[in-house]
Amino acid sequence: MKKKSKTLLSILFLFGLANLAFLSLETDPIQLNYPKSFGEPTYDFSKNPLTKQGVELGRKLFYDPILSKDSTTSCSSCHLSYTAFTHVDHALSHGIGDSIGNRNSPSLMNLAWSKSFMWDGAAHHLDVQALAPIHDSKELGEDLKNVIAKLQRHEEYPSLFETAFGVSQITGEHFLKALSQFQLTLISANSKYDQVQRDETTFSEKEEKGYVIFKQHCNSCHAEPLFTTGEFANNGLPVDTILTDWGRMNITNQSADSLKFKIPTLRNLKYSFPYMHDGRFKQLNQVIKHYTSGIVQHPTLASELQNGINLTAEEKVDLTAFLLTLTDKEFVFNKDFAFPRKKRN
Amino acid sequence: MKKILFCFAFLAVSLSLFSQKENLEINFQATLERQPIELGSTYEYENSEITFEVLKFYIGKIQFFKNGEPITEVFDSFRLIDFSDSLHRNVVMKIPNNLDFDRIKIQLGVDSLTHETGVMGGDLDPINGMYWAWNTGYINFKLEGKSPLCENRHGSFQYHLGGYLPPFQTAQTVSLEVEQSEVINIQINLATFLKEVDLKNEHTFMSPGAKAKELSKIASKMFTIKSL
Repeated sequence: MKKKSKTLLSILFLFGLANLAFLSLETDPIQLNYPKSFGEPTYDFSKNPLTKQGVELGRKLFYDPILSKDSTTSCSSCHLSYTAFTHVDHALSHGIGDSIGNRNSPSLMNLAWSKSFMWDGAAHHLDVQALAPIHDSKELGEDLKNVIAKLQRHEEYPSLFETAFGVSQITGEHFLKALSQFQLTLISANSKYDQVQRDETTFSEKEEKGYVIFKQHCNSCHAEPLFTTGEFANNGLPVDTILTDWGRMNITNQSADSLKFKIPTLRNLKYSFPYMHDGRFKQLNQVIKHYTSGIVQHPTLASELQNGINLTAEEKVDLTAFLLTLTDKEFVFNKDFAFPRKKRN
Repeated sequence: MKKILFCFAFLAVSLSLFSQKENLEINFQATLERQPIELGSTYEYENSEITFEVLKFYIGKIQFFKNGEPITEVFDSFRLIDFSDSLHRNVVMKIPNNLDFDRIKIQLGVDSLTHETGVMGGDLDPINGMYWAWNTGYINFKLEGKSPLCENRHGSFQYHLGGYLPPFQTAQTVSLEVEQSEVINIQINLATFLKEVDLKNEHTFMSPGAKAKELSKIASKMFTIKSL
């Protein structure tokens, strides 16, 4: 009997030790705030629960050029917080050694509701999206294995990974999950449009008229409240004969997807110029002009655009006024999203 | 401390005694016809020669059958079989005691559902080089090497097979008649694959699609029970 109880005690002791190991991972869970109208996120947070430590680690990685082959370029090089996480004024984004890529870097926001990533949906999940720019020779030009080795040698990262994920041995999984955690916090939901939805303010007459035009002509693809359906569409752009970018078809090998690109969100478009997958339009009025008089017929052209969109000069102005209500200054100037400066003591 | 260790050992032994499981080991051996091969060595092939440099693939669920009826299935996680490492050429799994079976079906490759989960660790960590960055998804099967038969700059071949999106899903099921045993030896005859591909012109495949699906089916035919 005595022996048995000793055995029992030993078992309890061992379980206690095991529990202690788990308890040492003290993280602070983060609850995201977002409008109910956004619906349930696509991202499965149960597989990567957000914590203060995970998000901060992801933020540090997002801004760290250690992710690139020559330590010059980071995620933020093409996704700047002050311009809604895109590369303003660059039609095609550039990576290491001034190499120019093939696409205009997309803005990053409300990613938890995205069904796919990149202009052609090349990445099917946020967690694995970062692999594309890291491995692209015209972007960060690195290799995941190498990035992890560099992080493991770094004086700070092993302990930061241990704090966030409980192990100092850095894995590809934890690295990518940390990057996701930071990006998932990039929620833009406080534009004038959002404030009007919450009855905190009202649209001007022009904005209101523009809203009506928007709902009639734009909302089927740039659906409220995320201002995208997340689907792919051919919006009638003439093919750039040098880039010859077939968009979604490059990924699916299906001719039905020829010239289809991801429908981008219109939120914060004030900051995200130039526009389109190849950044061919510098100004918003060029975009509107394309939809009213520039549509090129093609077998995969979106059905809504078969006849173009007819707008008077005044309607164009009203529509623009509405689109600018999607500007979320709080998002763009949010200090929690900016370069992580060390706090002074 | 000794006592604690003793108790722990006692606990481990008693747990294993009471559990209704036994080990089943599945070994993989790569061959060129009947010739066992090692990566990095050169072999005669089709009046020329061939060297294999990479042979890696994922295996998933394993189902057990008796007289055509499913008995049970075993699946903990996907396992990466990697011939560059002698420790990664087999899997050892727990199966119920005295399991009576005459056929196993092995899942070759990572299924569509697993892809939806997001990034994973262990053998599925993208750091293992079995993941496409430009068109995200697992590479189910990798075979690389060199042969003067390949008409390209380095005389090299690279077959990276994968893809999970319909209609080009590439995960396969390999069905094998087996004898009841604690160890199952599976032979992967690379010649079966090489005979079906045009090594001269079709030496490089690295993207999902119809061809990847076709090649994946051919790849699954390489797996047979090793005749001793």
